[in-house]
Amino acid sequence: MKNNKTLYRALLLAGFILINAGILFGISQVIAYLNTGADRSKMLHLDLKQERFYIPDVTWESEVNPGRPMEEANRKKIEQDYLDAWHIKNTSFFTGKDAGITDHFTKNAREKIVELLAQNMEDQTYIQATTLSHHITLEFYSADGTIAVLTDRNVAGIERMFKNDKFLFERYFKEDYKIILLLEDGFWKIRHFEKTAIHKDPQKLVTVSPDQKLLEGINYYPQMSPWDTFGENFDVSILSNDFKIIKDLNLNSIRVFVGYDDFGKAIVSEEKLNKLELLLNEADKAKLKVIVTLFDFYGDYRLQDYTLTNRHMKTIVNHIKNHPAILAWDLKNEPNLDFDSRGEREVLSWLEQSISYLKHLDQVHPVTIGWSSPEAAMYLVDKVDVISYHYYQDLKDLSSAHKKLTSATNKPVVLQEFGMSSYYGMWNLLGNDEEDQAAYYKRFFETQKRDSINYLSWTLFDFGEIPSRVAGKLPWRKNKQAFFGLIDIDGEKDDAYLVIKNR
Amino acid sequence: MHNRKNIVPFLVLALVISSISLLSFYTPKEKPNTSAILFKISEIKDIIVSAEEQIIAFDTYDLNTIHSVNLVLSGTYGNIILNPILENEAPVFKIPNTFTKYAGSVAYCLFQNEKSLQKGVFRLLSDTTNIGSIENYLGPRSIVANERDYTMLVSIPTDSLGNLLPDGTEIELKTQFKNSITKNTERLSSGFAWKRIPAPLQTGRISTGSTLQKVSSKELIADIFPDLAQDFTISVNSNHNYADGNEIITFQTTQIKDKQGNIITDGTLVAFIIQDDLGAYWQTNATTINGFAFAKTLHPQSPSRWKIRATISGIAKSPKIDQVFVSILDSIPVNIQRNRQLVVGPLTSYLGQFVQDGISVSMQIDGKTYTRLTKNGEVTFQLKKEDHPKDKYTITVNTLGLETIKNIRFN
Repeated sequence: MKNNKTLYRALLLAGFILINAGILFGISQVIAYLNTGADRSKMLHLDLKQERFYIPDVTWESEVNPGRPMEEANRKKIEQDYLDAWHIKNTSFFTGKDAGITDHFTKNAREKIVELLAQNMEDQTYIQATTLSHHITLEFYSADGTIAVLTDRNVAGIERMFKNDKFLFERYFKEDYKIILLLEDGFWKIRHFEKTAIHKDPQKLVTVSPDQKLLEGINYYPQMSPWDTFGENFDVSILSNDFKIIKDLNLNSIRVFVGYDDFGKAIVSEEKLNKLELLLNEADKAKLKVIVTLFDFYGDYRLQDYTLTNRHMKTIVNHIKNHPAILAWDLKNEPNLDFDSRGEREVLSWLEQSISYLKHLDQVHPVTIGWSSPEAAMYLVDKVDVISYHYYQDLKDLSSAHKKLTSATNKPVVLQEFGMSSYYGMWNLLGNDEEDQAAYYKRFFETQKRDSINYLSWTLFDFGEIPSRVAGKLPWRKNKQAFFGLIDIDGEKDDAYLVIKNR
Repeated sequence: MHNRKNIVPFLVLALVISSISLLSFYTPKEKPNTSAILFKISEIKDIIVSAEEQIIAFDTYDLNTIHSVNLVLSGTYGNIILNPILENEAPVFKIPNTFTKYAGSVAYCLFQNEKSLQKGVFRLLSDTTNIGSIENYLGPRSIVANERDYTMLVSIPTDSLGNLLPDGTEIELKTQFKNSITKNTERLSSGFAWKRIPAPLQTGRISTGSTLQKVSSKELIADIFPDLAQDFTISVNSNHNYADGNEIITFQTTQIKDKQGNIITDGTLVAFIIQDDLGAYWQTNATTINGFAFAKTLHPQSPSRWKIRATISGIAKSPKIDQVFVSILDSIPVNIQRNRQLVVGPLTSYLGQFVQDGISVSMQIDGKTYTRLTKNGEVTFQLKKEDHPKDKYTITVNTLGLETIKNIRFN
């Protein structure tokens, strides 16, 4: 009895304390919530970071005008507001809503847009559009700085039309516009807007041949930073060491990967560019040619993204295109794997646009796309300079798959990825071991020599930790991915190493 | 039984297929020709904008598949997609007035199943016979009367549907100032005409307007303000020049004008800077009215020579002028009375009247200084026995810029 009494007492006391603690916690949460928000330091929105969703190429062809000299700050403001107007207008015609139109068009101009929007809503017509480049001439800037007259020539862009939720067609356009802007409420708003000319867009691409007779190479990541070549562990001495090994294998080229997010999306980070340049320097010292794979881990392909991916590409390509180590640009790794999730049309359209922009940036180096299978490699065959495919099926069909491609086109064909994982273990008891891997390479070289196949194998090293975004989270997938290398995690050379070296 | 049941539909099917194939075999050879250009619309010519819808007819068409065809128009503000409509049993495209109202180049494209059949370009031209309105912009709205400054008139005429008019259209830009009216005929370029209006050399207002055909704009006005003030002179005005610490002296500028003789804007701040003969500076301010500024200050209490200059800060100044203040007394009467009272005064002014109350008198004795203010022309200092025991003393009295030394003896 007495024991019970003490127990009740203890329980009561404990309960009382718990309830009070709960109430106090609740009150403190309410007070904390009420104290958030109105922070004086945030009143002016000084810490607001602007993320840009639309960065077309803009060239000011002339600012000479009879009215008044243009000031740098106002030119930037006019450019920003004018481009925003395009973006808002494009968005409106896609969503059917006129959000933001008020801020960028004066009352009279706004009416015209709203009227057309209503017409398109009624007809169930939607237009997805973006512009890629503008060439602006300032015709006039008034003495009081409130009127600006622009001519925007060769506005290049793409539009897709949908009717009744059905895709109708896509077209490139190149047009001239005349624009009168007024400074109202601190915004440069469009008062008059008129399309003055429509140009034919030839879209002619020049084919470029690679500067390498027979491509014999390897896909490269440093052993300690797979899928993260330009990350925290970046070290020039590791690269120079690894490149010596590749040279020891008697190979002449490597393929490296530039991540879209990793390099900072549209605003490419200076630091990453420098690292990429250092890698190229090392490759050049080792007399290795480099295929740079762009847009790794990019998977959006939306029309609204085109100006951003173009800006990303422009910064990178312009930075390194004159480097002697560059062999070719691989626009995208295995884009056909995104067909299901993003739509074949969207992906191909993005690739086509990106090829043409890449060729506009660099007319010297060939462009390829790393299709994941020989079947997919015939996409855009007349747009790329080199046809690349990956092959992880049975080697006995390689020769016929390769011949099918070489007979279908005159352009060089590259087997850009192939290899065998030497993983066997808990998740794969019947997997291949190192001997199988060596045998695989031996068989491969028989075919390669007979058909003179350009190749890059996958890959130099076995890796410790595979990032989940590469092969998913499943351990049997991850582990398989970690053992494709010729040199294992302890630095021991697999048998396949010698097979390649003494091929 | 089963077999027979199954054979009947097959027989029918076979018959149908064979008849179709026979038909297709016998159909005339022109079919490949028509299928090459099954749909064709008449080429769209340049048209003038209108609030009416435009009808585009087909040259060739096939009524059975007419609904797979679309006409896409890409104009200035956006695109529209048109479906063919049957009118009098013939298909047409009707371009709605939301599209035909607005000028600009239009790309058109006849589409069938994601394939373009026919392409072309036409222009929607602004309606030069129906002028809608003229928007005028004038700025800066306030300018200065000199040779450098100007304002700018920009005229943007539009047709009745709000479209810019073609380049080369003539428009008359007009300005009026006082009694003169200027008219200029300008040609539109990029949809607008503009004119630089130099500032007149007189203050006032410029009115502007423009006319195209019989349509006029609103009137816009710019104000012309005087230019920078020119240097000026000042004078002083006072009842007398005695340093009595009581009289008010007035400083006055001449009428301040700009280079062109326009009176400067009312309210311009003029600072009068005064320096006395001890090197001390002070200033008093005034704002102008009709070009004049007046400032006042008190006479000093002791004789002095003031140098006065007026400035409009950073813009204009006057030459320095002198003002001399003379003493109102020749000597200070000082009397010692029996009860150790030292009486200074009576102090009299230039007419023999008592100086006004509140004049400061200071007296030094034995290293100590006492200061009192006058009342009825006099100041009395009580020198206590405790402070100043029996002895000889030299006292110094200062007032109104004068000094008197006196030896006294307390018993």
